[in-house]
Amino acid sequence: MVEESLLKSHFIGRDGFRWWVGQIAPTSAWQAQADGGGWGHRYKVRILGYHPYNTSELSDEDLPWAGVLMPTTAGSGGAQFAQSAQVAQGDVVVGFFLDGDNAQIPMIMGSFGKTLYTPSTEYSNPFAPFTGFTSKIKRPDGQRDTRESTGQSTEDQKLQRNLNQQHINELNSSKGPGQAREIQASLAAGQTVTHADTCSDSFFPEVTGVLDSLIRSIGQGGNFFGDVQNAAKKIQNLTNNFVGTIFNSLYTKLIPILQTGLDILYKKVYAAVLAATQNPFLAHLAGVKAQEAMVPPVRNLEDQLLCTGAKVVNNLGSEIKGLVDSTIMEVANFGSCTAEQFCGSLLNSVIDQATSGLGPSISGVSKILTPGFSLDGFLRSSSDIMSAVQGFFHCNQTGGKCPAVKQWTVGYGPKDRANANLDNIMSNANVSNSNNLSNNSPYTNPGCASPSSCGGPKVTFFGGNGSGGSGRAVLGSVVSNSSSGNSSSVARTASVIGVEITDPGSGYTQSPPMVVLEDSCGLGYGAVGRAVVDFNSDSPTFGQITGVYMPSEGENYPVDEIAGTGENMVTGTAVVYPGSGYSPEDTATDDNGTNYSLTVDGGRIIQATPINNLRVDSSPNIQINTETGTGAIIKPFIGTFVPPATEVVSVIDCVS
Amino acid sequence: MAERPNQNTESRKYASWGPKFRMDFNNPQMNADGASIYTAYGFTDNRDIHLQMFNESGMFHAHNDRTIEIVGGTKNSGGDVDVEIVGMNGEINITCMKNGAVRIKGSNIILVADEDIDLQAGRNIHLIGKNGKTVIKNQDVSVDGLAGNLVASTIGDFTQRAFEKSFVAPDFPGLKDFVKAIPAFNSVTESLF
Repeated sequence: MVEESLLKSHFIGRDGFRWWVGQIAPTSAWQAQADGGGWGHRYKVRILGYHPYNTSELSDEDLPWAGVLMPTTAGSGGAQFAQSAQVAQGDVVVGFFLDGDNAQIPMIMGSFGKTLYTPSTEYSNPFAPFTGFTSKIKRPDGQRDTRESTGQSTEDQKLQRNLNQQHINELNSSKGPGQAREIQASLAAGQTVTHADTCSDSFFPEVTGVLDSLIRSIGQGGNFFGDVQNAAKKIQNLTNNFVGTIFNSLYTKLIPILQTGLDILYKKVYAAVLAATQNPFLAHLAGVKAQEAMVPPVRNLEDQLLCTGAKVVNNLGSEIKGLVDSTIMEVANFGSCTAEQFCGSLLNSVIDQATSGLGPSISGVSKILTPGFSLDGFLRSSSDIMSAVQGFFHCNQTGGKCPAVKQWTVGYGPKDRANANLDNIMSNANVSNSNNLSNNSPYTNPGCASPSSCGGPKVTFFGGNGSGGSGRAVLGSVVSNSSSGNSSSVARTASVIGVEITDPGSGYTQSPPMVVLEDSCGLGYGAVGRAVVDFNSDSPTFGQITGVYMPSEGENYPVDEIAGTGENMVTGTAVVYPGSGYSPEDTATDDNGTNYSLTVDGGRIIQATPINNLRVDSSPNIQINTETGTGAIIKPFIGTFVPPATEVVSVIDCVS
Repeated sequence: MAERPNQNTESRKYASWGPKFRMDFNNPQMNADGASIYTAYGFTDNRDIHLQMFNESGMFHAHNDRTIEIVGGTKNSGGDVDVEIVGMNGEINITCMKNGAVRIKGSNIILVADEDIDLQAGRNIHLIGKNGKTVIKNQDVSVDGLAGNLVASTIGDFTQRAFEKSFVAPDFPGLKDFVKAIPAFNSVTESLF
């Protein structure tokens, strides 16, 4: 022993280097250290081959302290370069003994990553795997998948997704046992924002947005009852615009009616007095007096018109709450048709209250109204009464101030605005009236926004400074849902790898339109298209949409089984950025094997043309082969596959 | 539903600092606007989340379940710019989703538009100056409305306009007395009304 001790240098590495593997003891055994009461990064560690497999022979508390070696990128704390060690109870760690064979001073060098198959149970016995979660590092409840693992699998450290709850539910419905559940990253995802807009009446899209967002929020764990109250209050506030529009239309339309009535009254009195007195002067004075007698009732009508609108809005609170409650109970998918029913019922209430509030005043001027005039009938007779006449457009004003993007879906981006059919709203109001639906359901067809079947994604162009444009969604990366064993309502789903332009539109001379890709069931998500417009005023396609490229192809878009998916290829390209320094000899290829010829002008790439027709199943990345150029980005347009022309093998001269 | 095939997980990296905060890089799973280049995600004991996400669409998302506080210029002086918000090409939209108000306060509030300024309210618009003057000036200045002294003195209020083609000026007090001064007229007209 003495000899052995004498032979030792007592310097690490010179007396042998002893590796070990061990397990971090439960935190309760080193709680004071975990709570910040100790020094350094130290952990109680039970080491295989050195320490017993039970706590009766050696308790966790009596295990040796192990220090931690930090990587050079973590810093030592010197000059305040530092990082925390990330070691948890139950971790299996590897290290060495600073004191060699004495094995009393263990150092931790690293840890073995937990896999998806490592149990995440509570502590039972030494060396049995157990969870790293403690009473102070709690297992996440709802906001995150709870499994403890590290690895390259998509199941490891599953990331929350920025999708609406419907998409999250759809994804989870196809999960098998043991698969990590999808969790919504933000409750705001999918909510509809309606932008400020003085160019058009936004009551209908605002109401649609509020109710759509409310329905989507059901079951999301937010403050649902508060959301309902807020939605009802929001719609009541919005109703100011609606009611104001109706009252403005009403008084504007009443003025000529009253003028005509006063004229008729004068003529009637004039004729009667003239017949009685044969005195035109007296007849005139009598006519004037008859008109003058109408001043107080008309003034009274004016007063009532001024204050009844506000009263109507104030009185609509409980009515709107009832309509919102009915919406939650009856409507699964909110769309334009359900919004028309909602607004129709609301309009019916507005008309009822306006009729009731203005009734006495209207009676006061009945003498100069058309015989049989009914305010209720007048308000119900035409949808014109609801169309807001915006006073902001005069001869010197343009539509440039009108928002190109009128609505926005949080997480998803621009949304084409829901448009109202005023005639439908009016007819729904009259249906509500005839059915006496007040305080009952506004819906005669609450399921109208739920499609009977899911078609393929539709392409919508809107915004920009032009008009028109349409296209066909080109699908790729098709997944068969039956073979994947999930319970999807559609047989196959796909990504949108491109858009084939069927109508290029016109007038897009300054800004291209937005592109929205949606299927009728709202199953697909994530496809993002950018329209490319020809801004060259010398070009025959000036102001037209020349193509759409896809920054993101999305997934889960239903495949229209009738239309099919077809075969696709790169049909053209968009030079998104021309870059600089390119040579005319430069070429480009993509990761699907298509080659491109480049047109270079002054070092800038101005055109890239595909040379060979190859089938593609996803949007390929185009790489430029250059030694001098930088900065150019070329994106492919995907369309229907056209087989290459058959090569000429030989020419047979049949004449000679 | 099934996710798309051939996702590129090769470049996915992540870092998780306990259950309440994590970051993820190049995660191929699809979001509403494409796969994420990076995501920073945290949540509180009350499950209030904080999310930063930059996705393939090019959009950057910053969500916070509770208040977002932005403070600038604590050590600036009066003429400095404390907060600069710039939209390079498109629009800047500020929207209160539910029933909140947009409040702007400052010693001076300057709104400058190259073209139009539209103010629209569902109910009232108040322009109130307390110790100065109100100037409305343009090449063409007009008003429209149902009632009010400005309307009455310009285009006429509802009653005035209803009577504008009649022989009665609704604010013509002399007419009634004049007519009453003619007994014969009164006897005839009384019987008519």
